Amino acid sequence: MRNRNRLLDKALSGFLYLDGAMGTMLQQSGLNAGENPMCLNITNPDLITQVHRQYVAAGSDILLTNTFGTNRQKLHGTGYPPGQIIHAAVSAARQAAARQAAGADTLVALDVGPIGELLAPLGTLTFDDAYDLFREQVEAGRNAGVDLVFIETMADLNEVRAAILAVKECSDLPIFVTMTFQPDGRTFTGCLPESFAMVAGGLGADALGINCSTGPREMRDVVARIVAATDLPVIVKPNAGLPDPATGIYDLSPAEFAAAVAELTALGVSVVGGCCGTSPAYITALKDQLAGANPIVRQPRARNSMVCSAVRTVEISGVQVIGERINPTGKREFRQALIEGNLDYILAQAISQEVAGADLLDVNVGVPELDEPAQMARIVPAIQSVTGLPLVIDSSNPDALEAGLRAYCGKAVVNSISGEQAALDRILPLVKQYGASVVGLTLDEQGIPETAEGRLEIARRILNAALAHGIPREDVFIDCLTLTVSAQPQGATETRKAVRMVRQELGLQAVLGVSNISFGLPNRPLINQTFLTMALEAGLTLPICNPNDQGMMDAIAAFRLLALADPGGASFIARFSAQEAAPVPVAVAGNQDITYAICKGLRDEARSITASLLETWDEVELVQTLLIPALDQVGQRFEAGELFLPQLLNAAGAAGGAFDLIKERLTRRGAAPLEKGTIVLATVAGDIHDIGKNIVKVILENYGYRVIDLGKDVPPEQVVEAVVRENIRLVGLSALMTTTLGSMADTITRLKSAGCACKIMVGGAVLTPEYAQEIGADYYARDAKDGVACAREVFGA
Amino acid sequence: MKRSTINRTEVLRYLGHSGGALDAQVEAQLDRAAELVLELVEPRSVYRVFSLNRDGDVLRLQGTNVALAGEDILVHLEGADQCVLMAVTMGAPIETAIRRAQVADMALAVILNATADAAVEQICNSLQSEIGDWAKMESLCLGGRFSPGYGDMPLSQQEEICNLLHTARRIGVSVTSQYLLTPRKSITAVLGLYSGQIARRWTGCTACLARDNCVLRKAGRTCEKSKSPVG
Repeated sequence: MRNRNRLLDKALSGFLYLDGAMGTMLQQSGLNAGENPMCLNITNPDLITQVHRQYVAAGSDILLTNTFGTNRQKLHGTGYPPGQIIHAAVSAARQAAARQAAGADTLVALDVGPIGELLAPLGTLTFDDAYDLFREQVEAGRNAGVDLVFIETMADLNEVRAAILAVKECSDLPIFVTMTFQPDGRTFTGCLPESFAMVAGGLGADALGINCSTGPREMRDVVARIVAATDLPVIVKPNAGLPDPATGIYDLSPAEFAAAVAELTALGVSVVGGCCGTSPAYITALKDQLAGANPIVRQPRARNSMVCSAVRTVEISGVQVIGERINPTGKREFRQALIEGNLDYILAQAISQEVAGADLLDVNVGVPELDEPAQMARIVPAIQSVTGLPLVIDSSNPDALEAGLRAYCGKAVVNSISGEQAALDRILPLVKQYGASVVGLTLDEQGIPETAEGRLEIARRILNAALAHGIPREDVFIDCLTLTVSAQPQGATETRKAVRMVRQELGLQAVLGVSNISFGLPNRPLINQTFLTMALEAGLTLPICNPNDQGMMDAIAAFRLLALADPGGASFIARFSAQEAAPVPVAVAGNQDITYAICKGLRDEARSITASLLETWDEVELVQTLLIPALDQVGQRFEAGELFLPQLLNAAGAAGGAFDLIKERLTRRGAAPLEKGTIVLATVAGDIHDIGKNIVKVILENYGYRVIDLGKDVPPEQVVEAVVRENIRLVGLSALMTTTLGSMADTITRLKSAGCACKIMVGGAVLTPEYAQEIGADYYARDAKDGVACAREVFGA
Repeated sequence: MKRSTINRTEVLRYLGHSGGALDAQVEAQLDRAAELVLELVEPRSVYRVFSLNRDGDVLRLQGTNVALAGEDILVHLEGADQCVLMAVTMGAPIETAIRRAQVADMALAVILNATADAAVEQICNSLQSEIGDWAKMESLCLGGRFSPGYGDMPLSQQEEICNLLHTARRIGVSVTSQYLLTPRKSITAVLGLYSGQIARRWTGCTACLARDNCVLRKAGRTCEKSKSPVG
């Protein structure tokens, strides 16, 4: 705490000077490129201390330890555990730092760089793996007595989150954190400066900014954006200009560098230092340049309600739609998808709501049969792997909320908290810890107050409790609750009145689930749409509704136009000219050829022909006599080279439309599904290529097999577990790289030693029938068509 | 990268197209994929020149602790005094697009995947010609690309190349524990720099990673125009 205050005082009152490059200095002392510089902390600590001393002499206030990549992963093969290196590195820095007079010691920061491997979904590392790697470093640094932790050169916001959480949860050390941005204003993984500032600030960083990236001249825009997005001290630690491509030498002299950094301080930067290519001379020049100057007094920041993912920020102004479709309540198919682990179904819901114009997506995965926190932890990252929309973590289970918040990369909304004291005490600390926003429901131990005044009172209580937990006012949203108008005729009026009061008297964002209003009435869409418009007029800013409901979205578009939130009506006009231009589906005659439609991959046609055929045909008969033979015909033409892969898949997509229709009818009738058998598919551990496996999945599902898709990079034990649990008779394993064939063999061995009687088919670019046999597979499937042949043999159908 | 530069013939080749008629739907998907790739591509590259030290059969990069492994690379760099290490990437956004397509439209996903492969190859080619121009000014000749995984050069060499080029902080490319590059649409390669004539030009199919599964080779063709399969 003493250090935190001292650091922050300095950063807010005068400039705080970091050091410059360590690696560049070590290379000048003869370190070979490609050698691990961290080992020098142990093999040549004097050299490290010497470099630190030069920076102390140059005037650095903070020394960063020579521990940029000191994690288990990167040290693999060096023979040193992270703790040993960190201990030595801190001693080396401390020796240099302590040479001054008492009370003027230079501070020592544990330097933490990226892990060096990308986190999922781009790479294979999980968030928990990343957290553990950082925790090990932080614990070692804490034990070695560092003064603060400096997290730098990050490109992935999720890695930043893992690192900050590790520091917060294992120490009370101050945290400085910087990411590396490209001239286009994003990091390599697409993270925006605003998202970074929002998330790092929300998690409790003490200062944040930018390092490495480019030279100081190219980072002006990003620095300005970070300053505008945070109240915290802002750090810049640029490279010494840009490197020559052939030689790697940087192009700015110390004086040029210092002048360019000084220009950045005019934007509000108060913590400065150097990254690649800089040396003590650069820090000296910087101190000379800024001598006598003070950081500017920054303007107070606008307090807007903002949420974000790494790649997208959403400012709540006007009307933002929260898509409600990811929710199993009252949806049989969605429930089934959750229970079966059918992620694609859920992801498709996310994508279609985004396409329909949702600004945020509500995520509720509560079904009594499943462990809700575990589901939340699995589904939140999966949704984030296909959409950049910010998420609303929706549950009545605090553990599920926490699991969702921990898994979510960005600033989320928690949905929801009531005015009950127990709920406030349990959930507000989580909201604060993860820097989220929160929806407060205007109900408490006594239920929902009938009057608007009663609801406003609860809203006020929730707001005050949030403020007391350190949650800023703009992060509190209030749901005044929609009651069914057929049961409570006064309800709609009181709700609207409450919305108005919450907006006017508390100045908070208002959330409402809209469609409750019309339960039990005819023409529900009309009531919903009308109530939505009335509530918007009362000040509703965050309607929760189905964005695929065109009427609702049309009403919002019209409201935006009329409320002057759509300058020139541009969005409105674009929306409706697009609707008019969309082709009207042509009604298809009942006797049209389903085989033709499938072979040509005509999805809509296949579906509508199936619909009319089902008026006279039995489902099973239709599948056996028409659909499967059509697929076989496509398969044969694919084998003969008349059709190629995309055409095979389009045909599968068309047939899939027909099968969906049949499935829906069977479910509605409560009849048994047409499943021929269940197959487990997985891309083996270490392999991240899953397109091939997904192709096989699509085709197998077409043929009526149920597929449990375990995804990519699947550990052997997970395959065994699924096979045992579901009593599986056929497993398909895929590997694309020679290097991952070993883990395919391993998976097969484990399946056999676990006593699984299932048959195993394997496929993938580098496999051969001989190798498949050698590793104990039962079948080699050259392509998806072969996969179907294997399944037919195993299941006899 | 201009739209016209996405090479549809290459895309179709990656998709295993063998001359059958393309229907309107596939045409539209090919267009959509090209559009998405051009919208999302963030081409980035980095390269650096190293002098070669030959120590018996060991080929070392001077000033580093890295040796290029395998016999095939010795043949590939025969007569070269220096080499260029290069890495290119399409960036991360295209990966999200491919994942999204796999949820909604698998055919589009495979076309998008192939289009991205063709694009990353083109990024490689354009960097290669840029380096070639530089080499010419230095009165040097630039040889062909050789990547980890070709012939007997182990995939693990990806990691050393990426470390030497600092790909993580320079272009955002990392290596997984199984030595795969991430983002996936990325390539690393070694190219020879020669002061005289280049001893060898085309190493043939022998050194190619795709050798055993190459549809062209099975059909008696190669990806190098007018050559017949070798090795």
